[in-house]
Amino acid sequence: MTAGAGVGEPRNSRTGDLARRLVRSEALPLAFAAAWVGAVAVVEPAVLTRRNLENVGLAALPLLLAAVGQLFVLVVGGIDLSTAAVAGAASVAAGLVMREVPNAAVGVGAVLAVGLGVGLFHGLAVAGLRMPAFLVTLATSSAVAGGAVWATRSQKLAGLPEGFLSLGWQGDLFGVRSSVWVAAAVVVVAHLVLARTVFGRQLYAVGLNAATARVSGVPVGRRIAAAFAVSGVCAAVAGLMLAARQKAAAADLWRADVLLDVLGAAVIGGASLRGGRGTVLGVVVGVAVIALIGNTLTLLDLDSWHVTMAKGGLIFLAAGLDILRTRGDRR
Amino acid sequence: MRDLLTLPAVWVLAAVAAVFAALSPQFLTAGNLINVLIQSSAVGIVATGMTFVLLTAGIDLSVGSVMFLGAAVCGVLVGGGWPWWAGAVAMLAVGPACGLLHGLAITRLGLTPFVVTLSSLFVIRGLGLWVSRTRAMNLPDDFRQLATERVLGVPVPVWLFGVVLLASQWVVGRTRFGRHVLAVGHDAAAARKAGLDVGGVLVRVYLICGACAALGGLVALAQLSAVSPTFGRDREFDAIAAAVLGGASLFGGRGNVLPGVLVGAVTIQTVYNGLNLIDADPYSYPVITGGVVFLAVLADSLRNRLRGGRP
Amino acid sequence: MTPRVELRDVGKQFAGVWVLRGVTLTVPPGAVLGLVGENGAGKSTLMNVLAGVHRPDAGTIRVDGADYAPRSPAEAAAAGIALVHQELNLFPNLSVGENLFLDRLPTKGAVPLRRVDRPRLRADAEEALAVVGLAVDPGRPVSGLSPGERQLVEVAKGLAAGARVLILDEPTTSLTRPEADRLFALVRQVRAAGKSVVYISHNLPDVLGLCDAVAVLRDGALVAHGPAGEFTEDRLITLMVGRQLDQVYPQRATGPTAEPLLELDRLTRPGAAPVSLTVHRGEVVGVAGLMGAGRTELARAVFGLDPVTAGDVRLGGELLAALTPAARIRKGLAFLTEDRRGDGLLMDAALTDEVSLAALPRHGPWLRPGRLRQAVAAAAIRVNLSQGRLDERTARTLSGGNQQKAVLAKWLLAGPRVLILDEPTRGVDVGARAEIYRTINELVKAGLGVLLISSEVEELLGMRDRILVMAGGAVRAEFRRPEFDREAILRAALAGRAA
Repeated sequence: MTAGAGVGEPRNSRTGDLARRLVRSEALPLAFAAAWVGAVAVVEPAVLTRRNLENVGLAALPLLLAAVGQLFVLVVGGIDLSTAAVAGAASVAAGLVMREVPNAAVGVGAVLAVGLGVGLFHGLAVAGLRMPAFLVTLATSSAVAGGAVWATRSQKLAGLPEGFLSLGWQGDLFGVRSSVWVAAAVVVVAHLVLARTVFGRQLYAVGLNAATARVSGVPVGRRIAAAFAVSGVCAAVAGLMLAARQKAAAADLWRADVLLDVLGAAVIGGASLRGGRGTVLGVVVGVAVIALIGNTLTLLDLDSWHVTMAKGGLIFLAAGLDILRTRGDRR
Repeated sequence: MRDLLTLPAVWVLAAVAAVFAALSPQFLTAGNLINVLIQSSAVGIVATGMTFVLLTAGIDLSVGSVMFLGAAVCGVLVGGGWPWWAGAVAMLAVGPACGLLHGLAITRLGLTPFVVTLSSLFVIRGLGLWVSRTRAMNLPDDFRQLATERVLGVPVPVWLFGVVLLASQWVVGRTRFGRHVLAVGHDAAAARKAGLDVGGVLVRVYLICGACAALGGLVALAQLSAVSPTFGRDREFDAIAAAVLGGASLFGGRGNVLPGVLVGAVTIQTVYNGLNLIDADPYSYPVITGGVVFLAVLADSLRNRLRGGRP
Repeated sequence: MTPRVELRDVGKQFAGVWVLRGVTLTVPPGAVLGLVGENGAGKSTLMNVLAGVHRPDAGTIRVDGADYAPRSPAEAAAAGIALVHQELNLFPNLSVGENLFLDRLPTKGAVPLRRVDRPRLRADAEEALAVVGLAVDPGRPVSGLSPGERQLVEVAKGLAAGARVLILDEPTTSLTRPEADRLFALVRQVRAAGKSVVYISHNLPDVLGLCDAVAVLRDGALVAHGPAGEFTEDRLITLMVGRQLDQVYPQRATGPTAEPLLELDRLTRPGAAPVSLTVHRGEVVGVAGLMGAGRTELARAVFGLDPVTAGDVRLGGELLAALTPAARIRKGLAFLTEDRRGDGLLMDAALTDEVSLAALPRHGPWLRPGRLRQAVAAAAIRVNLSQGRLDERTARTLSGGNQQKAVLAKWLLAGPRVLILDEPTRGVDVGARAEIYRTINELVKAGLGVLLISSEVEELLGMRDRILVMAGGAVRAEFRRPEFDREAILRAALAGRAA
């Protein structure tokens, strides 16, 4: 029993190994989506025009930000239902302060403060007071969204400063829109943090088993709080983008059920609601899949309920894929 | 009785009631309290079904969509000349059918409840939109009577809520199935080893949840007597909040119907009702209810902490 | 006489690998068969086949002369085979009575109103509990019972189901000695009633003392089977491992130094007496005691996991102020917990990630995966965890022994000066056990201090330089090398309980 007591040879043949890797990789959902888009393009060539693809990509940027933020919370085994509420409230806060001080920096400061504040509050309640994330974020989303509606009497706040609009959406830097730069920066930083830092490793450990992580010297509470803070900030920045895009701040920039797109994208991309799983690359793929399917169905001139059902079907398929993935691990 | 006092939501409810009683003389009248119960009944019935699912450590995010699909089917049938009661029966059939599909997807395919019901939230709402052609429908007055009719002085919705609560309490506490639900919720693998039909328990639990969603939907529908494309939206969150306020754990094996769900559902409605009575700014409602839910959850987590034990 | 259970050429394969081959074995009525073997030798698979959890891929089983091929645990139970699992299968949120009869709760009433017949359940439960001599109220929730009481409830459950064959899988792991003795008396009583018992355990003296016959499994095959009198502990070990073990407890060439490394000065947990103790460089200090003596709690407090109300912890003379595991690890403490699955391992992480977890802060903030992988491989070699694909395997797929080695590797990688080991060989087979002892000796030789908490007095006697006995949260006695005495240790442990 000295050697070969288990940590031994790969159990499967090489082809089995390859298949398993394919199933586990993020490429599979993307391949599905590409095949689907290709099929639709036969009927409706407008799908594959550069203009359309650009539009899809741009429209998906806020969702991408929110989903990347949500990924951090899912990795530590939590869930953040407050995405839409925080996005709306952050834009409203910025709109209100910029009425007094019409300065983009002040507006951005307000956006970040709301995101960070709500996120840290969630973190404190979940990590410090051991409250269930589902309910905490549900309660704060009601309060935060309600507060934003209250403060604006459900009116849109138009007349945002030019600098704010340019920073959040339209502005041009080296021929690329500012919103693309912001999203790219968030994605790259998030990927590096999760994949290449001690901090990121510790987040996964917390999600896999918080008790083990604690014994092994991971400051569990602080990691959970940080994950919620990241999620709050990402949702707030998504709100900034949405407001800049429609040139007005409002409490209802997003309907609450955008959360289902966010969770759907994360799950399609390989994140697990049980924690400890998921990559930024996967989330990018998940968002792309959701955005492409929605766009193609709209172009095919189908009713909204087709889009709704297709999203449901996709999440179901992604979950089936997740089962295949975990089966490989837990035989 | 001891259960009642150890439930933190009870204290939160008592505090909320005391505040409103002090602010408004109408609050503590019999008529108003009945009103609170009527308003709580739809979400309360859905939350009762949800409690069964939560007891098994599952979740059903699709209940709002089930309410809508049922209402859409009912609206189309009644609009097409069917009698109101036939529409109601059809609506009630939709719920268990959806629940059965959830149960089978979870037990046969091995998918997690969260994901199954998240995807069916979309699919079922999509079906409802298709059935209703995305139009709003008004229902005949017969339907409205279902909500306003009184039997022995008690309105029908309150009767339905009461019967559902008592029956569910009895099922959980006194039947073999109810005890098996608790066992499965504590540890499904151990329940399987103990020779229990875990799959059967889970399928039945989702069936019950679907049935309660449809019945709760029927009660809500009768009160509105109209089907709009947003009917039932976000009700899943209300139902889960009510069940959890009532002491159910999202991790299974813990929870109760009476007094739990009753207290949970009534607490939220009491806040709405009281704010309405004192003429509060309607914009303040979500902020205050959010705060009350937060306090109740906080109280629960503090209690668990005081009871000791490492998490 | 027809054998109670007769296995003929039974085999079982998983994914093309035969984990059980050609097992032919009989158990007569009114006999206790001891089943021993290393972890992974096939004991659990064999029992799961008998209990209807798995179906055999080869061979036949007969029970009392009749063909027996259960398709589920329920069918096995109906045929009179009851398996008492190592992880007890009780539901703490249900009552004792409900647990006893969970799969066949008595009911009354017509169909829509059919309900549990509580008076009958109570009467049946009282009867079942009387058989095992347990006087608890059947209406009490199981969450309020001690581990020993739960074990007896499990046995009562099997017997109440009309079991003709009772399979006990590692039943004494979480029992105190008196509780274990009570269980043995019950087993003898069951035997006297003509029922058969299969007793699986790593505790060989228990097996030899209790069983009529012993069967030894190795690598899925039966290597010996005969009356218990034909075996000695040494012979069993040799058979189990398939080679002569030098010794289970290897000799240590070095002795302790006089240099104090870990010092507890009147360390006080809420509601417990202050504890002072010292571990020197190169010393193994054993901590004996019964379940609930406060040993694990003390270790958790030292490691910064649980609060203390007063007192100091010093490491190498330096006062440890910050009360978090992270800070203590940085200073050189390591803590192998008693609950591997609960808080020892990340069961579903790649082994590279699991083993590097405690040492991560020393490799940050930016990770260099190549360097980390090398460090992990080196630590794996030190504990003799055979490497290869460490970045693909998860702990869940390892045997108990290899899991424990992975935890040990994790702590070695963190570079500790003092190692606190809480039940390091629980559920670990003999081979891996010897390797863990060897690793401990190497560490001690290199100047580490070890605080070894164990419920096995043999282990403490084999590994110790000194033994402390804890009871009721306080240190009651200390034994130095020449004066070790099993009886005195046990007496000290029990004394605190009475106090």
